[in-house]
Amino acid sequence: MSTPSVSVNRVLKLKSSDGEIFEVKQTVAVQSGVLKQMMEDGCTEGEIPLNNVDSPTLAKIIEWCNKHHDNDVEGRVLSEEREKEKEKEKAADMKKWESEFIDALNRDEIYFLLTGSNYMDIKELLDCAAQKVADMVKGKTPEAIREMFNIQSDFTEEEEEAIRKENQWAFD
Amino acid sequence: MTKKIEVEEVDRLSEFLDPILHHILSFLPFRQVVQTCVLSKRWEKIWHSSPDLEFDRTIFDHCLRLVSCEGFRSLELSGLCKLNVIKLIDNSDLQQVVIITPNVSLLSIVGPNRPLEIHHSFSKNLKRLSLSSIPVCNKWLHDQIFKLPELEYLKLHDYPLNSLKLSSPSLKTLLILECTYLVEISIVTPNLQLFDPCR
Repeated sequence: MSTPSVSVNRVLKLKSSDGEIFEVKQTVAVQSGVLKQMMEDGCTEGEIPLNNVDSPTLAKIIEWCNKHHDNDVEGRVLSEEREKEKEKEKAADMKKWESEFIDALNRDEIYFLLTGSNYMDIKELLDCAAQKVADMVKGKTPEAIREMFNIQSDFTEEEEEAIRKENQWAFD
Repeated sequence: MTKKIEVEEVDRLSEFLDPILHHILSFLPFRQVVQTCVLSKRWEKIWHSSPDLEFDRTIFDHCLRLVSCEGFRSLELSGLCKLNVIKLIDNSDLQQVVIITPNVSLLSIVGPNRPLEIHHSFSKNLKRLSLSSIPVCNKWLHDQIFKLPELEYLKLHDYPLNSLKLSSPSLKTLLILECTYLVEISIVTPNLQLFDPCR
């Protein structure tokens, strides 16, 4: 967080795959492992191309990072006890915000967010999006998962049977 | 790839890189993670390289076989009274195996071609032991073999040392395959019926 090369007022210029430029405070951008590394290496001059992230996705990612950054910086002058209480409240609020954020997205947006957060190495966002997809899958049979995500089986019946047999315990 | 073009109809899930799929699967119960192997060929081996493996006792009715599980570093088995066959094959990252299961009668380990720590309190029931491409030391092997009163079959393949010393009253079959460094064998095995030092 307090790397000497990161200053509060400086901004990074991020360029999405479709050419749109987004300005992000360095203090916000450190949430991305990739950008943090670039800042530490001192190579953030000019536009930073993010070839795997389109502009709607990048906008979402920045919204996420801004929100989490604000949450970290807010109010630091309270008494210890009051602060703990406040922390708890904030954590609960944040959870609520996160689930609203992710629930408002359609499936494609979530996929792009997963790819983008993986590419930019933003762990919390990756966790949140991966959890969302996992929730969709949870408890479903392979047939239901195939249908839901339109996964085409390229196994022959015999092949599928053999694989099932090999991992029998998981299907019992 | 799918022929349909509507956005919602595209199978994006299967297009994800393995690390993302692993991340998604890490939030699911392990049984369901394994079930994904039948989805399609893309998915068949995804769970093999899953960073977290988790089993419960219902799996181990009889045989545990782990083949080519990349990234799999440590295996610890205890209890599991029904388990009698353990086969660990080509798990290249495996570093440590701890086996405390009372009724195992067959243990076979192939690979990982580098030092592997094996701790066990084998059952007195171990009858067949097969070690391949594992750099174990002779003293360890000697001590272990000595502690197995029911051992009937021992196979050593690609054993890395030049001398082998064994003593086992119960051993009936001893196979030594492709042990190119081996120059000295000293065995005390009064019941041996088949000895094949095929080099």
